[in-house]
Formats: sequence, structure tokens, C-alpha cells
Amino acid sequence: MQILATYSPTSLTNSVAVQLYEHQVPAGFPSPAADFTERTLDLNEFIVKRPSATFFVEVSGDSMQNAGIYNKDIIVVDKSLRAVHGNIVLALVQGEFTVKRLHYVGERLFLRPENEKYQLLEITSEMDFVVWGVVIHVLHKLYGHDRAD
Amino acid sequence: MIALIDCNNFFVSCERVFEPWLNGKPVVVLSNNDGCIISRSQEAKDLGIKMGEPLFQAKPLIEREGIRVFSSNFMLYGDMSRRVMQILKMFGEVEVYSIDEAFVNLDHIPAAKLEEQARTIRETIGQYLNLPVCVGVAPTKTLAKVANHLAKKNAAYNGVALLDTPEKQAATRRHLAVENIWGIGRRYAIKLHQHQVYTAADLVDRSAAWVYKHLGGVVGVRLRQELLGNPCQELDITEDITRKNIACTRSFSRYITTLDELQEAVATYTTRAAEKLRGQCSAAKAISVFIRTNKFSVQAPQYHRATTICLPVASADTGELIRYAWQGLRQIFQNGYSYKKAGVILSEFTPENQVQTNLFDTTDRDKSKKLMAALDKLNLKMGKNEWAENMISYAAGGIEKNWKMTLSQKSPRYSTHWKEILKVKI
Repeated sequence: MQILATYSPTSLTNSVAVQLYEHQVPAGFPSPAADFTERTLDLNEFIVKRPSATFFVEVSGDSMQNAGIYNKDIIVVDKSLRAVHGNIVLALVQGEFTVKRLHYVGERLFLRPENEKYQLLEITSEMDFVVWGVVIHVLHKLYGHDRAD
Repeated sequence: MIALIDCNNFFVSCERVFEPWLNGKPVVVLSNNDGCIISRSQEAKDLGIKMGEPLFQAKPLIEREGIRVFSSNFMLYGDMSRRVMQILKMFGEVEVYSIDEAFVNLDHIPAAKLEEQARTIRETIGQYLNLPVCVGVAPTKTLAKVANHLAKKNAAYNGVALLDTPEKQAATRRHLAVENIWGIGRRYAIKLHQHQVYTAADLVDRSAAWVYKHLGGVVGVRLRQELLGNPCQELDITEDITRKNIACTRSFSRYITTLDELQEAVATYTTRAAEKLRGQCSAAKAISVFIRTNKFSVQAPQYHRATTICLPVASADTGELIRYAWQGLRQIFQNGYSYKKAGVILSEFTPENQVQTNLFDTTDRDKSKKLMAALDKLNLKMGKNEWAENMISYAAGGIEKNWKMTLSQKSPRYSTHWKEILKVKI
């Protein structure tokens, strides 16, 4: 005996996805918006440019408050970017994480806090320093704080 | 050309991304339940920590040398792995080979640019994720594996090795022991040694007919061709992650002696496995259960047993699968032993919508399907708690679960849970 053809009543490969437009069709004036059905806005798309290299980090402290980064905010860090002068970065200095603005003066490199209470820190060649990622957004909650501040 | 990208000491490296001060320091990661060492940093290897070594054996050395120990954090490793694969897709078609390994098709890269491209891959993963990787490039998967191994073992390569010319391939074959060839197991290696075949060069010097006879038939012949640089295995780039079997096995934090508690554990593991099964739209026709005592204990009486039950109708219903799992468990359970581990394995899959029912089947399959769909949706929405357990679960799994894993040194799930993201004082 030889099998000539096989038949599968419910084949997965033949399924076709059909968009369902869920608006009602009234018998009267047609909805002028019906032709403009569009997708909804996705906040991820706006905030996260490169998902594979993006991490969220919670900060505490007030050293960056003039840059709009407040205690308990969540910063969005993109590791794919190369940090340049003026970027706010999540850096590792002498084995500790910090968030500061990168500031070059000629060849000299500084980490600049955004609060007069704190000092400029010069990064010297003998210091252990590496940029972990560039801060591209800050998520600051304005309403409904559920954290004890 | 094919590139094989392999992450170095992957689990340890994942931990170091969020604790970068551990770079250059000895670090190990433990298996489920903090039993054995399953990942070691180079520094830990240099101190003499062995792969798979039980924690209690390594403890004196760990304490003396101040080695940092982590429990396994598979949520974190899984997410970092997903990111690595996503990055690799920027460079070509990807075959995900394991959690920390993937093949990338580089056929579109001109020969003169191969090394540069391999270095770019390595640097990109380093920049985006701080994960160290090695890249091996060759015309076949088997040789790409070999190239990767060279890159890993020889620091002079700086993480990238190419076996892109017949000359390089021939030179490598002369130094490559047959037991180190991907796909040749220990038993075959012994057999080959008996025929004076010690290196890959010895192997390719034998005729295809000889290899057919002595090295697993057509599989061996393909391996020989691959070693010669002639591709026989194509990249499997399908996104399909459908698995052939799904296992959920864990050790307990303490010994279990009663059937009741074992039933709870088995029900919990079955629940997890059934969820994965539905996740890939399959139904299982067979379920295996195993239990065993602590194999590292010298004094305790040892017992391990497994059984497989064939279901009359393939199912993806948690409740139904638990019933069969328990039936199996009752068959193998013996009183008087201290059990340390149990597991459930689902197999013999059919697509969910092609399940053959039988005449005597009394289960309402439609109803069960709807119930499971609702359950999964709810659990997905509510999220899982710290133990990766569902909000809504079967009472059969037990409520207290005081046998569950100990993960005493687990790091936060930095990249998958809002409450556990990296915290930095600024």
C-alpha cells in the first residue's frame, strides 16, 4: 500500500489572520472615523529605543535634582549608546554606581552633579571608572505615590 | 560561513552585569536548591572549584578564599539570554542552540570582512549587555564549534577565532583530539582509539566507508564532511520553540518522607509543566514521574524510581495531568525513605487542536480548554510571586509548600520585575 496524499482537517498552516473592526454599523449616517482605524500609541516605543540594551534603574538621592531626576525616580538606561560630553550617565566609580553628568574640560573628565550642594568630581587615570550606560529618560511619578518618601 | 557565539561563564557573567565590582573576583552560581556549583568565573576555576561540585564539598575553599556565591536566578539568565539572541539577529539569521550559545549565518559577509564582523558581534554584546562572549567562525557548524573552543582556550585570539581557510582547518584537525569533537561521545572516542584514530586529522584520513561502519553510519559520514569544511547541517533558524518534551524537576529544601507531601510537590511541578505545554499549544500523551533520595548522602539508604503513564487521550489539562501524575507516583512511592528530589516530564506531544479523542472519553474537552485558557490568562495578568508560583493554583499543589527550594543567595530579578530593579544611590 502506498500513501498518495494526506489530509488534515485542521491544518495550522492554512490559517489566515483577519483584522476585526469592532465598531458598530448603524443604519444611517456612516461613521466618518471608520476608515481611520489605527493602532494605539505604545509608550514603550517612545521611551525604549533599543529594547535589548535598555534597563530600568531606581535612584535615590538628590544630587541630580536640577536635571529633573528626583529621589525614587526610575531612570531608563540605554547601554548601546557611547557616552559623550553632556550626557547623564550611570557610571561605576571606585566600585560604586552613581548617576552624574559627563563633563569634559579639554582632556580632563569630570562627573558633574546637578545640585549646588555637591562637588564636581574629577576622574583621574588611576581611578576605577567605567560608564555602565547612558540615561535617556526619567520616569517621575506625580500622582498617587505608593512609596513612603 | 557560520559563527558560533558562546557566552563565557554565562550565569556568573549575568550576575556581574548588575554587580560589576565582582569582575576579576571569584564567583560561583549554584543549581536549584543551592545543591551544586553550575557556573564558575575564571578566578573560581583557577582556585580549583570543580564543575558540578556539591556546595558542601566546596564550602571550606569558598570560605577560605572569600568566593562569592549566588543561588540560580533563572528569570535573570533567561532574560539576558533573550537579549543576546535579539542582538545577534542584527547580524544574520540565528539558530538558538542553548541558553548561552547560538549560530549566526554570515554567508552575506565577504571573506575579507569576516574577522571584523566577528569582532563587531563580540563588542556589541559587550557594549549592550556587558557579557563576555567568544566567537568561532568556520564554514560548518562542527568547525565553528571547534573555532569557538580555540577562541575560548587561547587568550591570544582575543575572543575571536576563524577557521576560514583549508590550511587553518587542516592545521587544527591535527591537534584536535577526537573526544573533543562536537558529537563524539566518550564511548565512541574509546572505540576510535582502538583503531588508532586519535585526532580529527586521523578521522578524516579514513575513508567515508570506514567512518560509516565505525562511527554511527550516515551521522558519522556527515561529521567527517563537516570536519573537512563541507557543510552538512543547515542552520535551524525557525522561530518555533516547540519542545519535544517538557520537564519540571526540583530538589526539596528538606527531606520529604510522606506520600502527601510528595503529592504536593508533584502536583506543583505538573502544574508548571502543563502551563508550558499549553504555552506551545500542545497536548501530551505521556507523563513520567520520578522520585529519588539524596545521592550525595553516604549513610542514608538510597532509592530512586521512575514511571511513565500513557494517557488514553492527549491532554493539556492541569487537573487531569495531576491525576495521572499521582497515579504514577503512588506506583513508585516506597515508605521509609527520605526523598530529596522529584520530577515530572511530559512527552509524546500532539498539536492541541489535533487531539484524537476516543469513544470512551468522558471528559468535556471543550470545557477543560476554556477553563485552562481562563486560568492562564488570569495568572499571566496577576503575575507570579517570588517562587514563580501562580496567583491561582490547584490546591493539590499544597498551600504552605515548605518543601520548596531554598534559594538563600538569589540576586534580584533586575530586568524582569519592577520591585527588584537595580537600585542606585546618587
